[in-house]
Amino acid sequence: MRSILIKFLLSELVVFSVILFPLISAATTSHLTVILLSEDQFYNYDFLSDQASSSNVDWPVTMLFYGNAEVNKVKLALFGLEAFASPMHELLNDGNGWTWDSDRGTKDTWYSYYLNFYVYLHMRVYAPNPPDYFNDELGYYGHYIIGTTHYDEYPFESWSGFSEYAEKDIALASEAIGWAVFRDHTFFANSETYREEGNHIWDNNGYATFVYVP
Amino acid sequence: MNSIPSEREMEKSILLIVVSSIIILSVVVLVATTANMNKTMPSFKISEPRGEDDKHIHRALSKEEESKALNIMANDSQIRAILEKEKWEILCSGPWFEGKEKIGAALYIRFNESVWVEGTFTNPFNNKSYTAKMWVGGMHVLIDFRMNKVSGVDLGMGRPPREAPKVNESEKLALAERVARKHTLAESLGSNVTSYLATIYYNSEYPYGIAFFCFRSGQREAMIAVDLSKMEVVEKYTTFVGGFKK
Repeated sequence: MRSILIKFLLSELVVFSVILFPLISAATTSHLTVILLSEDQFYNYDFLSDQASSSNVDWPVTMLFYGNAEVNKVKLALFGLEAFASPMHELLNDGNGWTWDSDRGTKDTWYSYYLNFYVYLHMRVYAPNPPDYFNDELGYYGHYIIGTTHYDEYPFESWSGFSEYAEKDIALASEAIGWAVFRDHTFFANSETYREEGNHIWDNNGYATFVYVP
Repeated sequence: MNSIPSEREMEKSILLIVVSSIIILSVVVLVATTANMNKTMPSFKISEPRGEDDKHIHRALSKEEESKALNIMANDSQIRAILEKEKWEILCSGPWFEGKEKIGAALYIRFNESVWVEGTFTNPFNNKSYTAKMWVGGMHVLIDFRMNKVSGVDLGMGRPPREAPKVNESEKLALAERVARKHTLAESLGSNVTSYLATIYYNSEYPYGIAFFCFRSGQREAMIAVDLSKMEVVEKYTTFVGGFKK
């Protein structure tokens, strides 16, 4: 617990900076930016395909697992490796150049107390692969990965969305397995007001939850 | 030659020491606090987003639009009948877009407790019709401003608070429940299990119906789906349910 607290306090020293990338087109979000941590960079949304544009986004980055995180370790500890969901894509740079990662995520049937009905809780996680984690050169975050969250409708999946509630539920699931959770820890500049865009339901406060993985 | 300080001079010296100590301590605390503030406030640099084309997506509903949406919803007899069953709140309301065009309003209605609903509806997210008899914990209502009407309702499967009312399919459901009860997930919950019907859907994939049964034992819960035409468990929808109270 002490080491967790020390890591948390040290993490406060780290300066994230967010720079704005010019918007190429304007279909889905106007909040597409790149997040920088030391030499690492990643976009604050994932994408439907290997094309980093504001008209091609899927969900906002709402989670960061740090400490001793690694993509499969986090997924296996939560709901396992999802085999059937569509893979989505994230553009990352660990200091050695930009590279795409794709992921189907981890997914479970869930009762959302926010919506008051059954949903699928779905999180996709990304990191440069190999080694399947970012390595924070400054040492504050250790090995870390990022994640996007959303609900899918249970059972027929006619809609997806509510990233913010899904983030809160992933935080609860992380706590349930004994990981330390820091809710809405850092602003990732991807707040989305509630709106429906096709079967895409946007709702996010822009702050990512950080989870320490021992 | 040194003279012995008077009592008054001694008091003066002590007072001076105390006052200077307080000042030094205050400065130290102030410096430490300022340093700590700097530590706990990472310096973010966030520019204003640019892009003229997509400013529309940040507009919330205006008061007039929200009022219009509520009026349209209240005048829809099918929705009104559902809303009269239980206390509810509008958890979210916002614009509904098709591409770049704002075509209406989206409302998410959350019920205080699941309500039993029967009827045929249009799912606004895929424009497909479905018939449902189900416990509903919340629903999406999409309102089309071009037509001034409710475009569709997506009912969310709520947790059954008690036995479902008697339905025409009762005999078939009793058989389906026995099929579900024999599934390994239901059996793994032990003998002290309660089982409630959560939903029956009739849609293009299951024209003869698919029933969802909620099995509970203590804090554990499983959802088991049974195809009513084949009387077989539908594995892809059969699962344990996670979830923690806020």
